[in-house]
Amino acid sequence: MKEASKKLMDFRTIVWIISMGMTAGTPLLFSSVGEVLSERAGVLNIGIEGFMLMGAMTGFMVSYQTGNKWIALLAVIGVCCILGLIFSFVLITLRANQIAAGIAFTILCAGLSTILGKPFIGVVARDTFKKLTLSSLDKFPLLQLLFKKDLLVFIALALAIIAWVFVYKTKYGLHLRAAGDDPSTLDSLGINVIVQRYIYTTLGSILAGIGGAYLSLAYSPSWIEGMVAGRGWITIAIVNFALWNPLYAIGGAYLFGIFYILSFRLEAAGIAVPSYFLRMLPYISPIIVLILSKLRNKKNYMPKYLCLPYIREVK
Amino acid sequence: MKHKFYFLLIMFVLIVLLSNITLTVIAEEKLKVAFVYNAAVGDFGWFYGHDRARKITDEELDFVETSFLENVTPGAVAERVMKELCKEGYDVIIPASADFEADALKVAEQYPNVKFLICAGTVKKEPNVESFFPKSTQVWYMLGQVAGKLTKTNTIGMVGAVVHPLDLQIQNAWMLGARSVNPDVVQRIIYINTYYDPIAERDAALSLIDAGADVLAQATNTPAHVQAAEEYGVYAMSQFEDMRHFGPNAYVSGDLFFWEKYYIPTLKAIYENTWEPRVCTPDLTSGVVDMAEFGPMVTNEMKAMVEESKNRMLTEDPEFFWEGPIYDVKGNLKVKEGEKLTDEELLEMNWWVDGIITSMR
Repeated sequence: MKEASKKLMDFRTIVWIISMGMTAGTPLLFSSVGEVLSERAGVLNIGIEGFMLMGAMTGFMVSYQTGNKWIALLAVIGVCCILGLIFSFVLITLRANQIAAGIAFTILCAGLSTILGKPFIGVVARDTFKKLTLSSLDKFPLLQLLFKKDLLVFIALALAIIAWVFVYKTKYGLHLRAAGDDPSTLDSLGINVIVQRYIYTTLGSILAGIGGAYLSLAYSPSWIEGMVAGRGWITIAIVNFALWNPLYAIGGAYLFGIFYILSFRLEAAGIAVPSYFLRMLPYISPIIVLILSKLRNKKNYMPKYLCLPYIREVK
Repeated sequence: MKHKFYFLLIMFVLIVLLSNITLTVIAEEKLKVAFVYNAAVGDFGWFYGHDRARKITDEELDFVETSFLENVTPGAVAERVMKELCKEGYDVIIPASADFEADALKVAEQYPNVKFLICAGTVKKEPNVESFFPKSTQVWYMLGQVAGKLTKTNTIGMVGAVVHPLDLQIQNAWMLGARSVNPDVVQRIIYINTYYDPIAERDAALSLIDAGADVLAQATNTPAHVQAAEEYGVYAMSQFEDMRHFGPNAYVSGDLFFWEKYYIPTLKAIYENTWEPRVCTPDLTSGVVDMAEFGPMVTNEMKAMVEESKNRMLTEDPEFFWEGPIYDVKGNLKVKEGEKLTDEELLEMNWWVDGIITSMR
């Protein structure tokens, strides 16, 4: 126990936890940014778990067949684009109940990925995203620990920042926000709400797919059924917690990742808290932050037309 | 008109009779066996091995007809599934996971004619229930000796699943083996609270490596820890399957299970009505459990050491390592000098031997 407490105080371990938390949070960051965009446009994409599964399966399958991770990533984008368009058609054009359709889509994609992925279980990946070699940082082991990651971690980070600039600083971002907050005004400006929603729901699906592919191509290079293991549902919580802001989503995803890693690292150190409680940590963290942020700020950030199909009223 | 009516009636009666006859003939001829898994058979671990054994058993025994259900959630779902199987006329149900034990016992009580073979169960006596789990602790004691010699940091790490007597036996045997050759070794265990979550398994493995472990093993179902070990240049041992190709430089060895060597004789006994339910714990001599080939890092000296222990198990006492004195993690004397843990005590094991660091103690 003495050794354990000494280990806990170690600065290097803290850096290690932050670093691992970033990596663990990356798939969630991809899917959270996607979900922010789609929810901002007024579409609650509950099918995100399914898209992540399809992304993970497609990524691994194509990378195994072609031996090229970039082609695999393109294939993920393609597949999730098609699925996202079908999903958008059901939700936006057919105006299906977003929650019911989303759950149905999750189940469909989970089944589809299981059937299509059967032959790829237990095979070794051929081309995966490896950690960058940062020889210039050799003298700084802590910095190397923090930044020696695969490229996708940084792409996710950049994507979140770009999404924030896009949503809050550009004209198109304003259109996007209006599609979720006040679609009839947007319509009266002559901008097609339906098209807006189609674009961002599909984009959200693609990003979720990339998040899933991160798991099977970089994080744990293999395909195993159900490997997303509930990360899609956590994404929806993170988006709530991030107040529908892509920049806060970085914090949300990384915080989740850090708490997630912390729970393992504390147990490895032998802390006298049962692991049942430790495994709960990452799920408690968003709830606490959500309560705190609600107490401080009573404003409701949720897009007002979230979950509501847009029907143009004829007067 | 009348003729037609009689003709139809006779035909109807004939069809009913014939279909009944054919049904009974099939039911009498074949022993219907259902395997219930709580994860996918493609996990490349536990269920993968069981399903391979199922296929071999099916081919080997003409009178057996097998089927399997994967991804069955333990609890109410498993109970309902097993009840359905009983109603459908299955003769033997094999819940191939410790998680199903409570559900299987409930169903077994209601359907006394159906036989249950619970894998990794801890039931001692029921008229229609048998528990089976090979004594892989023998292999794990020897692997512990190898790990004790291999480790440079004097820390070995275990990706644990849930706290279960059979898992504890393996973890304790591994520890006793390591301590027998290196008294400074400690074992760190992370329990991920499930047998199947490849990503949590990997994160647990990485946390163990960061905490100083340089020989890893797992109680979970997938090779994630072997991949992590390969990446970070440490060693890994595996349970259930040979996971060598997931980390050729990291893979030391592991236990291998050949479940068909249990299934075939047991199902034969059930078919021939000579079956007596028991707690079945086949050991190294049975062939149900074996040790995988060693990786390149294992020296001849270590191999000789393992060979010596194996000889002792085969000739003297199959489980000499459960002999006292054994202290638990809190410092209590659990097994006194000159005593040995009995099979009953092993099935109820709920303590960790001295040297294990876990947050569950």
